[in-house]
Amino acid sequence: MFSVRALSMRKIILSLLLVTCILSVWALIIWFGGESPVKGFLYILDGSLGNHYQLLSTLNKMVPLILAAAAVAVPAWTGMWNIGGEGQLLLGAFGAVLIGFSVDFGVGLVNIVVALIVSAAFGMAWAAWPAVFKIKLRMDEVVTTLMGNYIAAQLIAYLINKPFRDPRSPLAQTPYVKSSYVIPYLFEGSQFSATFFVAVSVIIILFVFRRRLLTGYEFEMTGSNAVFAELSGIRVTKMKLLSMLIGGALAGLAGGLLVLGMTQRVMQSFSPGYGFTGLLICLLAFNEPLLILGIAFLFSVLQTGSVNLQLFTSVPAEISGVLQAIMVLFVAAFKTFMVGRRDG
Amino acid sequence: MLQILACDKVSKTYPNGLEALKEVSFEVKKGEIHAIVGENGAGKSTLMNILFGMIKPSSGEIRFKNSLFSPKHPSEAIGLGIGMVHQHFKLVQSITVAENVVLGMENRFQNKMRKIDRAEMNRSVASLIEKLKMSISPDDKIENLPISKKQQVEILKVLYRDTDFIILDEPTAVLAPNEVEDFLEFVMEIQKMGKTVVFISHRLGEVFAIADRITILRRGTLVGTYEKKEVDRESIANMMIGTDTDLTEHPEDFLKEEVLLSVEGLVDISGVLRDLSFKLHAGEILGFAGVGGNGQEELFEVLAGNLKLSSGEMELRDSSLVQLDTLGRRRAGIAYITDDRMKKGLAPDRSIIENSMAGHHKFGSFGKALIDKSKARSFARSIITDYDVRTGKNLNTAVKALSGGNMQKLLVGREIAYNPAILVASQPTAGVDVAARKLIHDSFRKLSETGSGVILISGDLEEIMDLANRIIVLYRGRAVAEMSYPDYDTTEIGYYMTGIRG
Repeated sequence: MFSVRALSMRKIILSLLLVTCILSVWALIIWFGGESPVKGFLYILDGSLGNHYQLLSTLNKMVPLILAAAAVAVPAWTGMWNIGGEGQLLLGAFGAVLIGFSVDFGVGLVNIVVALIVSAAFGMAWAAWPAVFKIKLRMDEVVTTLMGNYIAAQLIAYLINKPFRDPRSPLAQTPYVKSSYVIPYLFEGSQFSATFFVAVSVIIILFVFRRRLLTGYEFEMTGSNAVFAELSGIRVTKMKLLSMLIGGALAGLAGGLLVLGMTQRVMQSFSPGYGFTGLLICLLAFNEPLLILGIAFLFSVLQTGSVNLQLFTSVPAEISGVLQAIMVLFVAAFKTFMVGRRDG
Repeated sequence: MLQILACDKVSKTYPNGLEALKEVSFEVKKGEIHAIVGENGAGKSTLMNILFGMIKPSSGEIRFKNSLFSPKHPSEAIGLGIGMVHQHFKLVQSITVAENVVLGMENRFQNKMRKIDRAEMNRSVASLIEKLKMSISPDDKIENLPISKKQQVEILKVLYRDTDFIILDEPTAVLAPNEVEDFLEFVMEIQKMGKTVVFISHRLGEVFAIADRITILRRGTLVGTYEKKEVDRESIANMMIGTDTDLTEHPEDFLKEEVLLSVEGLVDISGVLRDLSFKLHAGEILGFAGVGGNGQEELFEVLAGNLKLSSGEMELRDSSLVQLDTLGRRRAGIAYITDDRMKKGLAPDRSIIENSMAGHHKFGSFGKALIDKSKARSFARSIITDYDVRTGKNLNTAVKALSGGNMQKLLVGREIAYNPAILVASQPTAGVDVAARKLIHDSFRKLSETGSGVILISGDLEEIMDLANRIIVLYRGRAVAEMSYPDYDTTEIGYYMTGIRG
């Protein structure tokens, strides 16, 4: 809410230095890949923002990244670590499919809303047990949420191979959801849909929640000093549980939106690690909703743009992963300088 | 006596513009105990850190043993024979006394095979221990020693390095009253060995007990250096804060008949509190005295609802508190000032506004769901003006940027702003300066005048005797004595506190 602001010359210089460092190492990597860095950057920018199809594709790619990052950020406000975004997202996607091919309420909008609520609930359920284990048994949530990802992946693999496998398909995948469940594409030739606006609305809601709502304030106090929060009459365990449930719901929602807005079914390797990319984005954004939006955009630019890079040069598209990792390393290093030290 | 150290117009301005010292000149004579007193933020620590080579002065000249002195690093100061015992101990917990003492110069005990001769090392440390008549063994592990012994190890460390100029930074802050006396005697022993001691303290009683001369600092400037016989405690205290206020305090009588809180047979689940019973009346300040670790912390936690009871009953105006959590107890009208402002009383990384609204937000003061920012801001501002919290203009700065005294005033102000029926205060003036202490004490008196009760848990007996209408002495979790104002007897209380009587 009332943020602690201290913008000093030192911070500005450090920020500029940080950006310079990241860009120069990126340049070096692209150069090693056999392309002139300036050209490489241009290919990336052109491939992600060059025309409106590419821009829409970039924005569309942001949807799961934004929500997966928010799924880490909200629990982080109360001091909880949710590393389980990946598993929660998978469960959420499965929840949407489950409703999507089996039930029909007659009205398309109702169908979509119900399916999204179910996907959020599935994600929430997958975040609930680590939270309860943490609170009741003091099991470290880092371990349980992380391991939960693998359990979820195996569980989904079983479900799409056996009980919910599409009988007409040679591959392990579920049937398509009914057409009334599909969130329609908004533009010809692009997968961009209203899901993007759902994700952005979530960010705006979280921003207001954190800055202006009493519950958001209680989250912040719990995360900043739990002993103090408890003594101030804040029910710390309730806040921690609630934040974890919201986080799980957001990851589940990401899965639901992916299904209804793009894939319309769950198949093997449904998520290329959205949950983990979300974790990185959240770390870079220091748990701040608006920054998540910006960083997710940057990641999305790198991912869509690097496809273009591969198309026209000898640099492989996997380079985007390397570029993202470099960004994380530098931010982590600079964070110590910018936040870790006190003046005086 | 000859002078050993002379400071001439020493100034220090920090990069952020804070003028910590302004042209301070004073000298220390060889073989004396020289006390340096001043409020928090008067510049004592800065001055000592300059002498020990941890920071460099911006201007001015220091002469030590008649030669120009400008150490770039503590090791240089140590080499010249200066030693410092810090307020926060710098010991390695997992190794022995002798190993800590020798650490950094253990090469002395290496034989030709580069193996350290432990027997020889222990012998050399033991001989120093014997000379100082300490009751520790070189083989004791630091983590097993009580605080007072750890402090002795710190001093041992300093003396082992052939130091003849020793700086003690608030050495008695961590000690219990009965340990303080032993410690002061020990400092005088060191003086008899021909060492020079610079002694920094808040507590004027101790200063007068041992110091030969006293230097007073106020907001970075030197007030003066005085022989002990030239001054008394009142005049020193007034010079420290720069006003001519009356600093003598005594309990007020706002006592009423009504019993606010009645506690019967408290036993907590950790087993520290044993059958504790007391009653708190309206308008009463009830003091709990005792040497640290005799159940004070447990009493606070039990009253706050963080520590469960295995038996006993607590009633606030005839309704039981036992089943209520902290929030429930706050709603019932209890406010809490904790003993550890950084760990339990504040969120140091968060803003002044956020810290002042904590808890109050549960009472709908700032809206039901949406925070009313302007209300929050004006609430914070009212605490800041009422309690003279010295902050910058910006109420969004983090609380950790405030000095300790100002943090404490913010904390106290926030808790009293509840207008609680009962205020539970634990060590409310630990580490704050004389003026802040007076302000906090006055706010307690004002609160009790309105008919509220105050439970004052404090290790500072003077504070309790200045405030409380009644004193209960805790010893090993039991109430061993109870006295009412004005029948207070320090020696008697001391006997009960140390278990000699009771």
